[in-house]
Amino acid sequence: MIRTDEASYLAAAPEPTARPGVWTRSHALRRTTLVLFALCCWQVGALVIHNDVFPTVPAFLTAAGQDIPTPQLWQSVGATLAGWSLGLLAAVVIAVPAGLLIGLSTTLDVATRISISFLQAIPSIVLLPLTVLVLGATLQMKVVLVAIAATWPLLMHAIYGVREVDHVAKETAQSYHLGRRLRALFLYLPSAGAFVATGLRISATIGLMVCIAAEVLSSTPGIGEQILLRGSNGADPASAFVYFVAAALLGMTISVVFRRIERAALFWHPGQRNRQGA
Amino acid sequence: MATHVTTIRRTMEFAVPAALLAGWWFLGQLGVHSFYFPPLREIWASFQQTWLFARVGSDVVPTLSAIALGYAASVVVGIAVGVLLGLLPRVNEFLTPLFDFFRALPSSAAVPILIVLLGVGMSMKIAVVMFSALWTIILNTSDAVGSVDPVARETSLSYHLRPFDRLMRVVLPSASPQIVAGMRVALNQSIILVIISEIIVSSSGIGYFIENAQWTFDITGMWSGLLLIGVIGFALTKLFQLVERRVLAWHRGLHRKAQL
Repeated sequence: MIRTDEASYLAAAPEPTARPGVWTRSHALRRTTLVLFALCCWQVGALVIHNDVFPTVPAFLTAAGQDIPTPQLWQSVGATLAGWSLGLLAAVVIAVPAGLLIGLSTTLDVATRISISFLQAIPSIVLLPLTVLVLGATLQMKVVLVAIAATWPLLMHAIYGVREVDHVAKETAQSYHLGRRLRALFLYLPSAGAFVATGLRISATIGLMVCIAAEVLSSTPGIGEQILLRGSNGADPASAFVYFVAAALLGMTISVVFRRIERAALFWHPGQRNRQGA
Repeated sequence: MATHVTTIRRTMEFAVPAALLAGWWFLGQLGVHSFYFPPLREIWASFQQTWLFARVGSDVVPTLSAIALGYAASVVVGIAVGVLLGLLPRVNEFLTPLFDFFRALPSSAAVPILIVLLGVGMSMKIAVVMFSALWTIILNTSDAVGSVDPVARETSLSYHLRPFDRLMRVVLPSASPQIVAGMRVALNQSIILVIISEIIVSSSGIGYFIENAQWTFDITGMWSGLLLIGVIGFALTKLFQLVERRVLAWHRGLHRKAQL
């Protein structure tokens, strides 16, 4: 029984085929070249566009030199990270047990199917006006919003992980008369764990997106608020870019870290073994 | 016996959501509601008044056309760039980390900057959608085109298929399942980003309506907008699935055969 509703979260993206952790010199050289290439493109683009908003690379570097030592930048990063991490934690605590439960019971699965696929289609950011009215422009508001957004991918993947346990493995466990505890440990945990790790990576990315969106939209302290403040009035566009790049680096770090977690959770999967060999 | 169980489950699949809605409705009738969570009856009344069809032209059409235009532009550009990169493996290998960087960054952070750069209007909304949706499509396409089955590729080469035919008959069909997977993720992002940009700054659209309802404390109006976006998101997802099932029917058939 394969259902396609949740497919919007599954098979999201190709994984980079490079082996993690192996950092050769040619690798580093290529990365450096790429960064220089990107900076050149930026500079050319800025010169072509030529307006007050889009800073050239030197203007950006000057602004970065001014902003990086200020506590403001680091406080903003901290405020964003606080909202994101607490929200993600709440989502894990809610969604993973719920998902495992729904996945194990066909009755629950059928009963919740339509409600879940409807609710997950609502972009959680539309709840922002409501949460701001109820909770104000506070950390709690960000946490609630991130938790709602991050719940769906985790829930879907937890349900899927339990249901998609390999048939052969399931029958093998049955014919060996494995007890409940052993089956949970060796049959359900590896499969569900791998799926949940994928869900966690997607949730982490979506959560950060929503957290910064909430800061932009409601002027709650954080990176998003600073980008809006510095950018929108034309006050200090180069500085807005510094904060934007900080957000981008944060996003990249989170993506790399959670991809590693995902890979670690998938250690048993044949595809993963092949990938490491390749 | 088995069919009996299936019938019960089928009924439950629809009965449970209906029961939930009915429960919300009757709780409201019984007087269990608060300022922020109005009874469903009032929300429905507001929904009818607002969206059937008074504000369709002024708010629903701008939102939907921004989603459609931004998404279409992302798909066209993304597939074109992705195919090109997939055919040039060395360039692809060099540039992939850059696209990966753009995909990983929280696209909501770019919205204020794009607004200042492009002003308020349709072009800004389209740019915002592209900035979030493009990278997934590029990465999925280039990866899929780059990993076409070598046997199929070499066979088409040795039969001297013209490059265009090779692209249309061998490369794109074999890459299509993964391209479609990228397009599905991109559709979700398009909807979210249009709503965000409308909430920040706009003079029309469903996001603008919701934001406006918040400022005027029109809570039931806000809920009706929320409901509408839920319906739109749900409908677009279902529509995508229908098209996908049609377009990739050959793929599913093939897989079923391979499993037998």
